[in-house]
Amino acid sequence: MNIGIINTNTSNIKSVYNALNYLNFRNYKEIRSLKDTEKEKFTHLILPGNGSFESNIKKIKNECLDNFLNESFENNIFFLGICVGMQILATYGEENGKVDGLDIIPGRVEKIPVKEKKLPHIGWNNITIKKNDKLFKNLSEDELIFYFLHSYYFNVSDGINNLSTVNYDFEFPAVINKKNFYGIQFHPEKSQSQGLKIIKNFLELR
Amino acid sequence: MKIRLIPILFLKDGNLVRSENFDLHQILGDPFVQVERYNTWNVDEIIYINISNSINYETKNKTEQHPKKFLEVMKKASEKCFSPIVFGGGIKNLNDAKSYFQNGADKISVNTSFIENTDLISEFANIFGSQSIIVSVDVKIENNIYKLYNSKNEKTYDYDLFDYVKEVEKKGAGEILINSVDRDGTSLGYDINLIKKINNVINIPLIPCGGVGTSEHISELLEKVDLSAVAAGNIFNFTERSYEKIKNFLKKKGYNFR
Repeated sequence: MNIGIINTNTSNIKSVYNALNYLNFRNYKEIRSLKDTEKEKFTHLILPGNGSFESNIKKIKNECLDNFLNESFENNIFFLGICVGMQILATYGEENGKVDGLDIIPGRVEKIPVKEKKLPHIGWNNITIKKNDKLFKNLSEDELIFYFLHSYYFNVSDGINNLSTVNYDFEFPAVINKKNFYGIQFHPEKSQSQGLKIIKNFLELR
Repeated sequence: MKIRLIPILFLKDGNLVRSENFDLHQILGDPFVQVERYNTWNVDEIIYINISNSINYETKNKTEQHPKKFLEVMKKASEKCFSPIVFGGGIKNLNDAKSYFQNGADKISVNTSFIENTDLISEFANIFGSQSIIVSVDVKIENNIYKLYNSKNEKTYDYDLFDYVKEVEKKGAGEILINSVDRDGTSLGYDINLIKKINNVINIPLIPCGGVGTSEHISELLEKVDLSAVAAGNIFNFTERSYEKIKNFLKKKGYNFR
């Protein structure tokens, strides 16, 4: 196993390292630019969340990591995008005006259309599993509660990519997947033991 | 969606401290033991605020851009906690914020350096996203008027507190943490009137703190104000298994806690 953690400079990357260390997955390397991917054969990639859509996609493109991610998708390398790390997989985002994403999982990132509730959506919320997946292995029904921190959601074009949803005045995807690529709207690295289980399940994907 | 019960830990020169009316710092000791305990208790979220006199703190590490010691505290504390951690205190610019996020913060809390330059909030929100930015607002009553208070120079401002929080929201804050200087450390209960007034003028989540001495203080507040988070400091430091006990009390009262 060879894990690559993509650092876009705005993410809470230390929290992801803490989770990996705790779970005893120590074979990881930080990716800041394309150079860090040369001569490496990654099996799993993680893109931690935090930061705006625009600042994250800019950094990815400036470092030519967009091509690297597209190739990883084709080459069946497992990828986990957390929060905004998931959102930039979309066709485009609307956080600071319309900004193109990687378009790996078709969809657009829009503001949550809340009625009564306040934005951002911050706190612990229950998710509903729509499609069973290895990512949810060993999670009991009462463990399906995770920490969310966002105002924008991933509106997937094809429902087939939607593994799980959450409700905050409106139902939207909590976990999405296409082939070897996964996106999680909540923060598994900050969702206590149930979140750590999801990270472990991801890293055990073969 | 659950209501969050958030412990606030204040740190001065590397020690956990207790404050009263933003003064009288009693040293409680090791900043890590408490974090570990909260993690065991499955805490919803933790706020860590560095209230060190930044000048003294930095002179020890003149070559460093940031208070080196607090970064060390951050790193170590974050390794022990798998719930979200907010770090605040001393953030002046984008580089400070970046280094906070890269060293263990999941969100940051900003305060005094932003009072006179609220454009900084927009700058931060554009880069880190609004959801990661808490603007902390300290309030002091003066001649029966709620005033915005600056804990660094111990002065109140003349401009309207409620206009200020509205502006903070408009500039892109994700949450507002409100603390009452008059209630801090007193165990007299929250200033419910203040919290209600602030909550009525903003559309982002409000985290109230200051004055909690009993579990009832929290339920009294929730009865009167619709909130998605509540915070407290001292009550968690002095009672055995307090976090768990308070949660259970509030759940029994019918409030939607995890």
